[in-house]
Amino acid sequence: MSENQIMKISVSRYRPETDKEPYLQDFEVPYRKETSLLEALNYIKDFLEPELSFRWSCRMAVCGSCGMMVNGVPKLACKTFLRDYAGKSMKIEPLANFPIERDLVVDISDFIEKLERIKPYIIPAKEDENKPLTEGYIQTPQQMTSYLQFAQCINCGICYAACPQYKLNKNFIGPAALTLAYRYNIDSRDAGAAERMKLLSLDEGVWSCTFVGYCSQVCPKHVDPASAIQLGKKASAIDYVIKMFKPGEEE
Amino acid sequence: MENNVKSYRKPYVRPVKANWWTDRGFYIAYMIREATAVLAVVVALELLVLSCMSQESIVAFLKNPLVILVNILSLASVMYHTITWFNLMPKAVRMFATKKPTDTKLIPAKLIISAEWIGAAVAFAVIIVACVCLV
Amino acid sequence: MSTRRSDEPIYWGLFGFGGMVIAFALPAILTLMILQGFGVDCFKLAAIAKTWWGAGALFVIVSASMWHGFHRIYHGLHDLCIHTTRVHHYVLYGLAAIFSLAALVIYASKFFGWCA
Repeated sequence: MSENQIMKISVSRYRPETDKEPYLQDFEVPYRKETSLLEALNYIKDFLEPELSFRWSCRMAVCGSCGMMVNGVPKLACKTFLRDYAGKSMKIEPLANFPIERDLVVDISDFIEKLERIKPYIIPAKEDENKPLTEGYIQTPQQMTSYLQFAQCINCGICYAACPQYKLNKNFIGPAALTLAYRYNIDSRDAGAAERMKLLSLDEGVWSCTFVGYCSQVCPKHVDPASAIQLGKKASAIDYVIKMFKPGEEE
Repeated sequence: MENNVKSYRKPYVRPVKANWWTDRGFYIAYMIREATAVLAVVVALELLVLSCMSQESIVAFLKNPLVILVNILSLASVMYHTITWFNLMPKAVRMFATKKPTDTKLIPAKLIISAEWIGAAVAFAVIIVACVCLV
Repeated sequence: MSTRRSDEPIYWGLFGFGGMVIAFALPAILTLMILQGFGVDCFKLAAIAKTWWGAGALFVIVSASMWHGFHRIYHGLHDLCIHTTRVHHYVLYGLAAIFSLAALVIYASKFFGWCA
């Protein structure tokens, strides 16, 4: 591939102090085989439009900061390469379903708040609390594999941008938070399942999901939230039946 | 915290349109999947109504070209439901092949989908045989 | 945020069962119905509905398909940006319940010979 191919990139701009709504601004960016969208955006900021705002940090699909819509599909800019759009143009917009703060920067605090609510950390059982790590938390390979895929989440919010149910109802706890709730619930070291099950079992919990499945399609870490949520529905339904026969067990 | 810096924050919330699903093939496929429910209800109602009729009336009803058309559309719709239903099933069934603590191999999705199609083929044969031979 | 536990497991369970029933039973039944329409004498519904296994299977197929279908229609309204309330819930699942009850009465009376 030659050194100086040119990509036409339309970038969504929104400056709250002057603009009523977002608009597109076109840029022509030279690229090579290795050029990622994140590098292209940095090129724009360095040489064409210094005021362009976007979030990024690690450049290697770990920090989860650079989620944005590429031709309507939510992607990490650092994991998206211009070569895959050769001969076409690119339209870059801020992550869907979140309020736009400025240009490509969105406010994901609703997602973060939901993530906190499901307590995404190991809640030890009373008897494990003061044990050394090697005793309380020992795990077999199978016990680890059962949740490992769901633990790959980098909290980038791409699944929320892909989810029509979150688009339609912002109360929905959403793919990543529900996936992590399920991930901790099935972790053999965790004893917080009953607490998280209350959130899972709400209308806004797993039951707002209609298994569209696009979250799993676009997840940059192959976490498969759709799978975790269906398994969460099964767990919640079983819990529902148990509670029906033993209503006094709660609290 | 108090400060004297003027805030320019004015978050822009994009409007949600009722036709949100028309701009992605994936969403269109999902809406078609959900729409198969309508013809499923139609077929169930048709079966229920037919069950109240005599064999001669049933035969006459099914010969109606409009009924044939609806039935063919319903079959297409039911097949679309079946394909999508079977393909999504592995996501709701996450099991290890054995209970051995060192076994980290999940039952592969392809195996689950194959088992579903074998089951569907058996069910198809059983229903045909039952309807043609047993009465 | 609400704290009320969702009663969705009941409807989801019926929906899931119905989805299975549709996938396994309706392709064969529709094939027979279409063939019958083209003059192949293979869909002997009147006789089948009088057998114990036929009446039982037809009841399960009809009612399960109804619960499955109305569940998807209920959630489909929401997908089409129609704000669903408890009224929609009662009407749609109510229809599924009424049709299931009708199926129960019809197939029971067929089997017990209460009607022709």
